[in-house]
Amino acid sequence: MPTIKAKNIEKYYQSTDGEQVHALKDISLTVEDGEFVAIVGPSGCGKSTFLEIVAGLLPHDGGEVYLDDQLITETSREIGVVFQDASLFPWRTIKRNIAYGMELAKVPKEEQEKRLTHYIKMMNLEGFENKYPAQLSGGMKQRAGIARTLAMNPKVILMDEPFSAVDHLTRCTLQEELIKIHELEKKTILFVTHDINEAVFLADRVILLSPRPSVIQEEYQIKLPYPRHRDDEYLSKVAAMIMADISRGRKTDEDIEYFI
Amino acid sequence: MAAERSEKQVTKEDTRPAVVGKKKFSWINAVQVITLIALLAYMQVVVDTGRISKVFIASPTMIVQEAVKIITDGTLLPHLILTLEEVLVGYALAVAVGIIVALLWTLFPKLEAYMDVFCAAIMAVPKTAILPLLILWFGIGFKSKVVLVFLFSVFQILYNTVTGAKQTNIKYLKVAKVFKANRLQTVFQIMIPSALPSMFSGLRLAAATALTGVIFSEMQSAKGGLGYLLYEAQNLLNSARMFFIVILVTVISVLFVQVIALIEFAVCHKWQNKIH
Repeated sequence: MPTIKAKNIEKYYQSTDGEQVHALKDISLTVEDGEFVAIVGPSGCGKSTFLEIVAGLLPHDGGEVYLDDQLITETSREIGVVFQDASLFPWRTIKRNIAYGMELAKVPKEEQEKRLTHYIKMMNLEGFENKYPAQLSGGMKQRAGIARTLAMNPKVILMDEPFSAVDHLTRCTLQEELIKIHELEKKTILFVTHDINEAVFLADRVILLSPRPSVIQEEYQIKLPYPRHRDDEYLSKVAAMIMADISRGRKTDEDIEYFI
Repeated sequence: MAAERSEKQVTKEDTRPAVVGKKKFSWINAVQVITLIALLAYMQVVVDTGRISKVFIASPTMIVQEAVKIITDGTLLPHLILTLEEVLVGYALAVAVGIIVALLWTLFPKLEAYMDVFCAAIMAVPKTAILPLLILWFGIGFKSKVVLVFLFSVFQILYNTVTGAKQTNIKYLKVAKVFKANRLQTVFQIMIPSALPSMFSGLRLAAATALTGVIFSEMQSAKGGLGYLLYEAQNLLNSARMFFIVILVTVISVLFVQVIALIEFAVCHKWQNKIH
């Protein structure tokens, strides 16, 4: 059963010099229940824009987004979003940051405490509950950001380059933890990244967006069960193929300028 | 493995500000102290030898003698208390009104759109120029001073707070939207905390100008206060007293600003990585 269905999404925006830019062109994407889909593409291709449209954070100029066949017009508590740099509130402790969504949703106090204990443990944040974000490393902040989203128990998790701001070793650990969460909690995940190796390592399916105006250039099924190995030959092959397709996409669209 | 690494990083960050905060007494400090002593000694010498008339410059010993005199004979205290009362009442009013209006503007942007032009107009008036009118309306006593202090301080507090709220990081607003915060929750839980650092810088600026306002108005027309005492000392050509009051007012101003900075530290230091 499809969880997220984006149909014919169109997005234009005004660039700083007043020109109208066609960012997304007729993008249709279905994410099945429990599926892990990664979106890759050259920088500035509109991956994050697409994600924010699905999240209900950005208005779009055409097409519809459905969650379980329900039209989405604004943000929904069923759709969790993990941002690039965690975006924790600096004036809240880690625990209170993780509780933020539950506070707004008026989750009963005992239930909040239960989920807090669970996700703080799952995300290896024990002992840091009462620290402030400024006292934590980038990787720990992102763990807290993920815990904040998981605590709301959303059907779908959208992730916008969540590991791009952390160092390589931490990134590898976080990727493995994410796969565990995906398997354990059976979450549907839509994951935007510019790192092709990350995409093929994590996802069931990788979507390649073309340069602007973005269309879905290619789709790749990654038929490899978890746990996967980073140096798996099959994954390297798919990654190489995607790289080749990206440069091919650039060549055929040589007349387009893709810098912002 | 990664968790271990991060933990180490955290402890390092925790201790760093304390290490930076401990200043060593360097040779620059020594030269500064020597310069100051030399300057005071020079003042003493030129006044004692009569090369500069004591009408213009008081020697350090004269200043100390005068200070001891007006403190012990009870001349100073009532004036000091009056000035402090005027400043504190006017400042407290400015803080209350400034922050409440800032809150209302953030909650109701239409209210700001309506009020902004009037506030900007009143703010643009040099406050010292309306002192004669204030005296006409409120007399030469306590009230006119309080009103002037209020006018001196309120706009800095208001505009700093509003600007701070407007500069709320868009990322935080997106998080609020994702978790479906309503307008009230967004303002109180996200925009106001975001505005705190900017609000406190307004409070500090306003503390300094509040004192300027009260001294100025007391010098123009008053029945008491440090500004009045200063004006009187000028008429009596008592340079030692003038020097002492200037020093006293400076110390009060520094202390006032420091108190605000301490409050800011108590409120914000836990989550700010910088030490102010």
